[in-house]
Amino acid sequence: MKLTNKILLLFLVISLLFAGSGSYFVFLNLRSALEKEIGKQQLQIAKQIIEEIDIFLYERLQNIKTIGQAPPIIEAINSGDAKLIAKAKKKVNEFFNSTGPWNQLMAMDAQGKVFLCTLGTENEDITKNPGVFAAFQAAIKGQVYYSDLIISYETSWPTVIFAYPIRDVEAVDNSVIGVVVGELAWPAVLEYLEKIQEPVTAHLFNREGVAIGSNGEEGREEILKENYSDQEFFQYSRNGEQYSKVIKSTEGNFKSLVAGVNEEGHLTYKGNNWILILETPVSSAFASVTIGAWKVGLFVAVLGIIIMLFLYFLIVRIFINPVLEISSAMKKRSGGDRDLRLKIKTKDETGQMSESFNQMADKLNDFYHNLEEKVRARTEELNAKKDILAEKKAQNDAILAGIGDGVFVLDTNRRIILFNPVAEKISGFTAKEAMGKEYDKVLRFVFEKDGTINDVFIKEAMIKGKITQMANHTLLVRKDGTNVPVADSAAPIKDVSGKIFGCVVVFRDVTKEREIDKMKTEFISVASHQLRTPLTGIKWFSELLLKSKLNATTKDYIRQISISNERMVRLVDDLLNVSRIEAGKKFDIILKNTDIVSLMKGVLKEQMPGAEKKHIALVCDKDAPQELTLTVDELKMRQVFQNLISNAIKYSKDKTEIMIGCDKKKDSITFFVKDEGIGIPKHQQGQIFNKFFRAENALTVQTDGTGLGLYIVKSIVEAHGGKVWFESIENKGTTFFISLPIKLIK
Amino acid sequence: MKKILIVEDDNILSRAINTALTEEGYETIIAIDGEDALVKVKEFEPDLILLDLILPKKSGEEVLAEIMKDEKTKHIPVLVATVKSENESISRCVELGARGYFIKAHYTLDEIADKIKQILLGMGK
Repeated sequence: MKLTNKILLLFLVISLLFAGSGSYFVFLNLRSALEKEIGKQQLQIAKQIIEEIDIFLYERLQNIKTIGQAPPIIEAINSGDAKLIAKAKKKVNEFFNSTGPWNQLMAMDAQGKVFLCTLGTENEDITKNPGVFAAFQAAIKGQVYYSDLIISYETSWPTVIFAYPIRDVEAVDNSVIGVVVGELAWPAVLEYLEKIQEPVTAHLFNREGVAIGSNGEEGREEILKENYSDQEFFQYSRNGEQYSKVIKSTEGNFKSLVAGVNEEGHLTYKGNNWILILETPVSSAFASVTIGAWKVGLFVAVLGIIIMLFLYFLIVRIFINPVLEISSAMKKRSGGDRDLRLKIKTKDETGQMSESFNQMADKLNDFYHNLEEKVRARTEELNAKKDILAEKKAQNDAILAGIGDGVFVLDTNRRIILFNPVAEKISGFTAKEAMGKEYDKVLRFVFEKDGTINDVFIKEAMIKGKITQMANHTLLVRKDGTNVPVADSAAPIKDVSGKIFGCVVVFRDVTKEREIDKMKTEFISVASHQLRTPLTGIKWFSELLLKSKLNATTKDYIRQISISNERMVRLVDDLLNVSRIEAGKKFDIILKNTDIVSLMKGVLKEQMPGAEKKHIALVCDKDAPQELTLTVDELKMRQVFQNLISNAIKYSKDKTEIMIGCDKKKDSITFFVKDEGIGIPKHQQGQIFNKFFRAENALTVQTDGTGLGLYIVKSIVEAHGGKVWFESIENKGTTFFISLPIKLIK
Repeated sequence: MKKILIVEDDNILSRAINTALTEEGYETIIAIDGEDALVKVKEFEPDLILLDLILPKKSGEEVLAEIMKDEKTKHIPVLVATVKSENESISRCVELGARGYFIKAHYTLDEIADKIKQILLGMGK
């Protein structure tokens, strides 16, 4: 809701509240004043009416007095003469007609004998008529009597009985000689009440609160039947108050303005104390007031609204408009109108606000300019970087495309995310076919020997994070189903935190290498065999020569020839072994149960002379078992020990110790050859089992050596299902270990 | 005097071994190829054959197989002396019935002569 609407609504509510409360206030005041006025009037009327009734009743008493003092009646009683009684009766009838209204008039003598009655019921036994009897008894004692409202014995109508003693005026003591009794016709009194018009009701009660008359037909029926003594008005009336109050109505459950008066006047001395109640229902009593109040309320409301509207426009003009102006300016500002400024009209808070807005707008503009500047700068920077990146990418792509080997990259789900042209060429798959697929759905690397899938190298790279080489003799099944021998390596790709997020595989077609290798192997094989024949000739003729009679010098020369020849023989042996390993034919070993300990000791013995020359102590570990039968190729294992021990001697310094021994475990045995020699340089330790490799410090000590010994050792040990490793510290010594599984032919 | 047939195509080697065995007191005869060897086995009826494997005309293995097939010659002990050091070659010869296998260049003449002596002595028993 807009601010102006809110204010308008607020003002309307306030003005309505004012109007409502104002008119109610007016109403209350008016009503209170009116209540007093109407009450006063009503009380006045009530007083008047009850006075009239009192006068009326008093007149009736005077009537009875007149009748009681009428000479014909006195005479009739005194004489008892029938003629006089008739005369008296005539006189009473006159009175009956002229005074009234009466139900009946009667006269009785001192004994209570009724001697005349307007109803003609003479000689009646008055003791049976309690109202008349009470009146008689009172009057006979000389009292003037009037009763409360009672029910007439004869007529069963409500009535007030008047009685007056008849005195003998001629007697000295004016003694009472009879009683005259009049029964008033009550409706005459009720006519006074009938003067009261609707909606005002008039009720007459006796002092006990019994209804004795009211205006309206219905009122007559309740005469002497209903008792109102428990009504609220009665509480006030009993105390003799004259009052005018708004209290609960006598007739229904509504409020009325009640005016109550006690009868006080001519008859009060006797204490009849009848009560007249006039009541007007509030609704009708104040009808005019209510309408007036509404009119006043409406007037006040209209006036209020007009004033409030005036105030509203004033406030809007003075306070709201500047705020709205600022608000609209802010909206426009946020919509992009940067040059908008407010005019400062006043020096009050809104003026200050406008000023603040202008300052803010200035600052924002400055800020925007700065920001734009920064954004532009950053964008340029980014573009520059993008160019560099694009360039780098192009470079990388070119490098990858230019690599002579096949390269593909896998993500963590082993999907191909890069596939270079050489990979396409080798595999026969296009990059389009390969990209996004799990690599093993496209590229099948299989073992050459049994055609089973080889995925170990990629798994190891991905899971263990190691750079792995594909096992020898792996084939790649090309798209057309042909096989191509491949060599490769898989390397994990790690992020800065070392987490593996992929793997790069480099592979190449090794068909040609294989051919060359094969040729090389065959060449070595043939050459070696061909070499052996002349070497044998040298060996054997040297042997024959040494047996002949020659001088010592010549024999020594021949021995030197023989030693050189032996070295040559070993060289050829090694070459042949290597060529066989290279040919992919694993060392086919001839296994038989062999006592490996005695084999080891035998080699030790053979090597003893060589060791002695350098004063090297060649000892067998005393903890080594005496005998241990293993299933091995005896000749090959002999070669292993020969190689290791002769190496140890070769690379040991003079006067050191070489210890060999073994340590048997549950299902494997570990042999060791420990020397105190030159050691293997740390940076070359990884290459020591490579063929033709010779450590740089080995070359300085011993110039001969093919670099094949350890390679062959490793091949033989692995062909037995064993492992070979070493521990070495340069210039301190080396220990070679061989562990073989304990297996026997049964 | 025991008779030994030396089957060896290289005449330098055959001469050396012939010298050594003659000195040991054996009667020797040399065959220079596989066919020659088979002929001389029948003619000469040696007590022992020293057989090279790489031979012209007929390989040593074929010669060995034929000797072992022939009822008349199969009792003759055959020692193989060759440059071949492959296990398959060794095991094949052993299967065919060779009594010994020498890789030439690994063994001295003495060692070969010792072995021959052992075998022939064993036979005598």
